[in-house]
Amino acid sequence: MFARQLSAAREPDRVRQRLRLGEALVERGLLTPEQLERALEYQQRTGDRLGRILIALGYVRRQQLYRVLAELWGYPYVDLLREPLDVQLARRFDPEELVRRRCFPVRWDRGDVWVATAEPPTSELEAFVRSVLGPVRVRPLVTTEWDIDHAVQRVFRDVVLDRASLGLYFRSPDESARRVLVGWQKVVLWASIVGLAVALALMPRPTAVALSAFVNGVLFIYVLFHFLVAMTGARHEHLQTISDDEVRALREDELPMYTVLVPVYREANVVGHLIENLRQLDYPASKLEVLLLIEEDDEETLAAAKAARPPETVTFVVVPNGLPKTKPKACNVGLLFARGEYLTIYDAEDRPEPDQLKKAVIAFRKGSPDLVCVQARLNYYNATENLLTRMFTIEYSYWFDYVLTGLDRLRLPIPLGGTSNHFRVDRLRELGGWDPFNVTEDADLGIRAAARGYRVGVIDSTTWEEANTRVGNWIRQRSRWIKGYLQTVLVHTRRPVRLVRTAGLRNTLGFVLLIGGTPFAFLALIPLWSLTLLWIVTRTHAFDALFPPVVLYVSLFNLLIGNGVMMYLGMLAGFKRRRYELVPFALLNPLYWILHSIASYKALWQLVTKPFYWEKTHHGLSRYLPTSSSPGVATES
Amino acid sequence: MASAATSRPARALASRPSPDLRLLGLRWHQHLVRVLLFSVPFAALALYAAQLGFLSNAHAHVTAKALLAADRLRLEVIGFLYPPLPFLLVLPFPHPWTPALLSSLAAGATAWLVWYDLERTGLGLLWRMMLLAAVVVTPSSVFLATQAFPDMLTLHFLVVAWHYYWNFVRYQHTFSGFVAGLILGLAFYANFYALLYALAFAVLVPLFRRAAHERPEPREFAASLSQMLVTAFPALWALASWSYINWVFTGRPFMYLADPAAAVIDPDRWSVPLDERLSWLPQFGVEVLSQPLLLAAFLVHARVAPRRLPVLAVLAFVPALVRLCGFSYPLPLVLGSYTLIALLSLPQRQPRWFGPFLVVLAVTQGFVAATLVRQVGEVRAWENVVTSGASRAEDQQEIELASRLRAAPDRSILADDRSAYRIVARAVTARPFLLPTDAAFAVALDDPVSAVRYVLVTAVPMEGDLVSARFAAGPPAGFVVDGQRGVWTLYRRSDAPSLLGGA
Repeated sequence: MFARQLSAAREPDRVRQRLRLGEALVERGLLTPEQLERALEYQQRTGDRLGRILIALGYVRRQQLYRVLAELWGYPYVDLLREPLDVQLARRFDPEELVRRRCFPVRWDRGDVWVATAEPPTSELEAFVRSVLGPVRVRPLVTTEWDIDHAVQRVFRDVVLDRASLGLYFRSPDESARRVLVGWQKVVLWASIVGLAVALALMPRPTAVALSAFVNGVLFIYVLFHFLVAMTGARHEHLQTISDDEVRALREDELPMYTVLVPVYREANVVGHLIENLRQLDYPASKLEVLLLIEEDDEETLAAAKAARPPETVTFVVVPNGLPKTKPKACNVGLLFARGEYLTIYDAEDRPEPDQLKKAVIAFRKGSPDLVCVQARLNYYNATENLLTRMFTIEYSYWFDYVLTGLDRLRLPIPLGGTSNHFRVDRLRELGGWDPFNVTEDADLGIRAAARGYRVGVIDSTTWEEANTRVGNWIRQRSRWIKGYLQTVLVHTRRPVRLVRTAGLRNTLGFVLLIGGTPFAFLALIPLWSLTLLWIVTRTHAFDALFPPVVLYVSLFNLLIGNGVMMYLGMLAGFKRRRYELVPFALLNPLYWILHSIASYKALWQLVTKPFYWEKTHHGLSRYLPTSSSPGVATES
Repeated sequence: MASAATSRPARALASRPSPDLRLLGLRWHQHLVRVLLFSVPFAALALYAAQLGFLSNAHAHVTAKALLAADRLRLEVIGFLYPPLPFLLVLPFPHPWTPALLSSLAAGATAWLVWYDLERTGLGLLWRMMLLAAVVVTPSSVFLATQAFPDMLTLHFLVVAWHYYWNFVRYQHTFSGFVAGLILGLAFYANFYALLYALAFAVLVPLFRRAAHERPEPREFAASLSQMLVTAFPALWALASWSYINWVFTGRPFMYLADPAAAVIDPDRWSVPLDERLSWLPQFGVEVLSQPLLLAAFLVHARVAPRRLPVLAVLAFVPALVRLCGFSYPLPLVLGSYTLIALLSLPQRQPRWFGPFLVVLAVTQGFVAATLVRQVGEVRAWENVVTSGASRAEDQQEIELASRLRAAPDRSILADDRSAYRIVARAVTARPFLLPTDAAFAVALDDPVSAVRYVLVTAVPMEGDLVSARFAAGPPAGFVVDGQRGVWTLYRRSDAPSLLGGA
């Protein structure tokens, strides 16, 4: 304990400080000269700090390094995991500020404030402490940034939880899905329901015709919109916005610090894969910060993660237990501790293409200042596992390769995918992070960015994921996504005039058609197809009144042309990915859409009954997971 | 358990931009300008023929249906007109000139694409110009370009589809495959034989793949199969959709094939037994052998790209196949198809001496075509009108009759547009006519005197013309002959004013 060393603590020894870190470590036998040579060579290439490089290369343990640094800087070392902390003192500071400055106030003793820091102590640190506590004497101590993070998590547990859960709501309640409907939306909803009921009772035929016309008309526009977007995406498929040459030309010393958030929950069996997959990333390890976000009550995963002995670049961040228990909340906690200039999210089982981070960096550098995020493509490595994974892969190929590319080209708002979205951290913080009450927080964030005048782009890099292999599991996941889309539409249309003013009419229409149109189309599917089927079987004339000529033409267009085009786009998406064996399966898309429709009804029901409930999706079920995992042990996210 | 190694997906091979990709290098407005420029001569000739009163049956048919739909403001009054696309394109401006102008536009666009391809052959400008002129300035080509909108439209779609299809099979360019498939699907709504071309394109995929790659891909079978499906699916889906619509409304999914107005089935060939049809093959063979330009294309391929010979052979066989199946494929279209197949298949970078040689062959082919199409009555008639600058008597009679009928009150003339479509088209309105699609038609047919003021019949009725079948021999009770114009006779109710001046 440093308290016992206080009396021995002396002023910094300027002579000792002249000794260089590498030499000091070699002198103490913590590093071999060969290792130092390699690290220095690495430093020349990356321009990074030697200490960080030594840790990233696994040559020294973090604590060993900082103990030596403490000696070099001439201050005592403190182990914050063991040291009793002055909670009252610490809570006078802002935790985000402490994380950012990499310092933590440990003790206040008769006008002396002992402050642990992971950076060389400067007058700036003193000024910061005085700005909070007044005229005090600042006594630096040295510790690791891990210790600082851990201390912040321990002391500010409630603050972290509060900010992660309610930060957006308190800052901008209109942008949070915590309230499902605002006043006028409730009025409109009830008025619509009552109005429709009354109209059906008083004028059943005209009302039914109007309803039929409305549904078919919206579907018609939705189909045309999808076709336009997909065509645009397909047209530019051969254009690579970031070439391999550009990636090769990147200088490692110019690469920024990159944070990777990996939220896990009951995913003990995939932690090993995650670490292996992250190792494949082509990015200087010393500039990579991996934050493994583990829920407080998920001891099993924490134990598995520790047992996997991850490299020192991986940091465990414990997410305080509390409602809502959602991935976006975990990500918000991660964002609080993120030190990178850029940040991305991967799921535990993700296999990003190695150059993805570099492509994202280039995209940001080439992009305009309003580019806040770039989305990489997602696809599935277990596509051929069963019929469901085949259909899911066709859908994802279509969505990420054609629709998102098309939206990007048309400069329309892009709903982000679940993972592999890369952010500028400063902008992400400005946007308020993720909405923990929105169950498709990613899509919501993309739209929020557009609503604030920012842009989201796409990059030509793929992250391979595990496709859902079981129907029940798939419906759970899909119902969550569709519920999230409904939440997103309700949130962002609360102030329609403001939305149009900030995002523009074109973007607003694009957003409403894409995010609102998707649940609408799937909700309409079962009733419309049931009518068609019933008509085919019975040849009844009971529905004739619902389809006056124009409505009939539109309806036939939707049924024949619309479905045909959507199936065809699925084929093309499979072909483009060179997954030839999937192409014929696009013919089964109509059956797959029935599953979507079932999921959308579940989503609608849950929006009413359990709006923030996060339907768990089990991962690690694929037969295609490497055998080192425990097959069949389901995990959830 | 599947191995992770084998399940690991291949890295996506995004199509790379290639300067050899066709049509993608120009923006839409650049295409449009060229299309307009190439269309001008065709449009001028089409308007000249229209001014001389010539109206082809195909254009009259499409125009009459469009006028009917525009007047009644209900699409379904046209029944299940096949092909629907030419009709829908004429519908916004239903006029006898519209299909001629649209056909000229399609012809101009096709000529531009041929020019675009000739530019890639490396032939000199003069030879390219002469070659294009030699194949375009023939009676069959110009008739097709200005008087056969449905056929010209289909041909144009096939040519566009061919370019994108080339990108797809040669360079695996997915977007091009997408466009090619969609255009082939759309072409089905312009003519039935587009489906056969789509199937031919699909069948050609493995041949193209074999021609393009020395060694097959690791998953060659799956790759070929998926590429074939991508090529053929839209056309097959279009067939299924149209058949479904027919089934929904009539209970007969293939009704449109049998409709005499649809011109899908060639009535002379359809009912011929299969073994007899085989006897047509030598005639088709002679037809191919009398196409020197096409034969030259075969020779060039045999010399520089022998692997592509089967591809060319399959394409050249399609016009014969269509007719062998009993479908309608007019002779001008057959000749136009051969010429296009020959020109579009010319390999790139030909030696300069090859230009004059090709021009000579094209001129020879033009003469052969001109001789052959002289057998076709409508082409001959059109040629006479255009070359002599004098109208035909029957055209003048139709025009005069139509202009007088135009003055009749709404739905006052009982007629059957199975025969009277030319008169409806000439009248530029369907308003005065009471036609089979009108609800009151059946009543008027049984009791004309209480329902209409006039009855129009022809001495040469088409099959299914109910009005002429009943009243061609003499006027119904209460009607008198108001006048005759050529083969047309107008009956007038005794109390109705005369429209033809009693002549």
